[in-house]
Amino acid sequence: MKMEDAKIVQLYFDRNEAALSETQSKYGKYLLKIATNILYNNEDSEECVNDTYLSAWNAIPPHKPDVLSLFLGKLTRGHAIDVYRKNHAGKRVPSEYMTSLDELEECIPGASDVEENLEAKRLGEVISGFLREQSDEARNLFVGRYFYADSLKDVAAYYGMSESKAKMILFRTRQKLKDYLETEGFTV
Amino acid sequence: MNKEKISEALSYLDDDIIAETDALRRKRTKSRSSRIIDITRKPWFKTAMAAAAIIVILIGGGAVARNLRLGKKEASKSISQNDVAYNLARSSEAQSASSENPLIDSKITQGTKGIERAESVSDSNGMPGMVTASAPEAYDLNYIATFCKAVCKDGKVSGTFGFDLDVSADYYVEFGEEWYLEMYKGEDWVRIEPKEPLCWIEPVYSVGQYIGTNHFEKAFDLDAYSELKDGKYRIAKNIFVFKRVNGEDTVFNDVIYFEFDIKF
Repeated sequence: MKMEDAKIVQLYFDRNEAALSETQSKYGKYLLKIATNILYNNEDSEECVNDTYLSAWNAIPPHKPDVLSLFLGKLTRGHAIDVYRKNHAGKRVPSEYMTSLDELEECIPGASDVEENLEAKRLGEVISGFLREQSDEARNLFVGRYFYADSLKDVAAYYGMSESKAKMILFRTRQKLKDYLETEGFTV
Repeated sequence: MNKEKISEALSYLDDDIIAETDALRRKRTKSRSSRIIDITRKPWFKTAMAAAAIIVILIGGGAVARNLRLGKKEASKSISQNDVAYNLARSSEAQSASSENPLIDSKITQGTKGIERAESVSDSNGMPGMVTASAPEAYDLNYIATFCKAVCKDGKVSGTFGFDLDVSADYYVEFGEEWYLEMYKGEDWVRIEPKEPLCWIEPVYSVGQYIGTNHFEKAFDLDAYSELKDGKYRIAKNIFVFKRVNGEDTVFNDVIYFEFDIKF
């Protein structure tokens, strides 16, 4: 029986190291999947997940996550992307992460170097606004594919649909996003 | 914007949006297409397939030997006991031809131009909102010429279906392998379920002048369906139609039908 998230978080607050084992027991495989999507390397992915436990230990408290899986998932994604950049600087190594970014690149605007950091934050907010206007299906496929770097097969499995259907929905969502970004002042 | 920055921008997505997908990911169900892919990757699957192939060869070899002993007359009698007369003729376009095996009463047919536009933009097989703008009048599917050739052999129906696109059309289509069978009952087409759930590998086919080929052809059989009765049937296949105007693609969800009659 897996422990409830609230109890796991309380273990972190109590500085009880059982928090780590409970986190690993409940979310270990889930986090490994996120890291593996990006890194395509078991050893590096496991290391990322371990870094996630350490980051969670350091962040809680004071942070008290509302959704523990989301909090841990974002930490893992961040670690995995850092490792990817470090390991593959200047090189293109195939992974679902890179493939998904390739797809998205076609509809994301360019930006000046000076304002790129600000631009990234604003772009993230605009994309959030765009996603809120989409159907549940389109929104979740988009986030699964481009945030979690899940494969087409995996995102299709969210709704038990075929990969071709998922591909079409993503295609159409990207087309809409491109138009939406233009109306928001981003030049694609 | 380079990929790193795109990745960074996605990190700023609102938590509630990510949380929704997060929840879905943790309790997702596997699709039929993913199941078949997973199964085919299992070592036992390959072993089972190899064993099945050996059994088929052994049985087939035994049958050939028996037929050689029986002689032509006995063989003919044996087949006639299981005689199933299929009439797969279809409409004015149907063309009969001799079967591959002259001992079997069967016909080869050419199917229909069976295209029906999806009436709803959010039907059970389609994608909500898939049809855009002024659809369905915005495009004309007459540019697709469908065909269906069916053969009855040893009491089993198999054949090919497919279509050709008009090379002058500003369209291309994409689709997976899946199709399903429907029977005309009363005034409605009713979906016929196979004996066991079918699994489909889902490569995405693309056909159209922009792709490099305007022809698609696919083999099929009805072995997965038991106790088929006399009647009018059709194979239904979902496709996605892309209309290209000024370099921009508009996507439509549609269904192509390949009709035929079966008469026992």
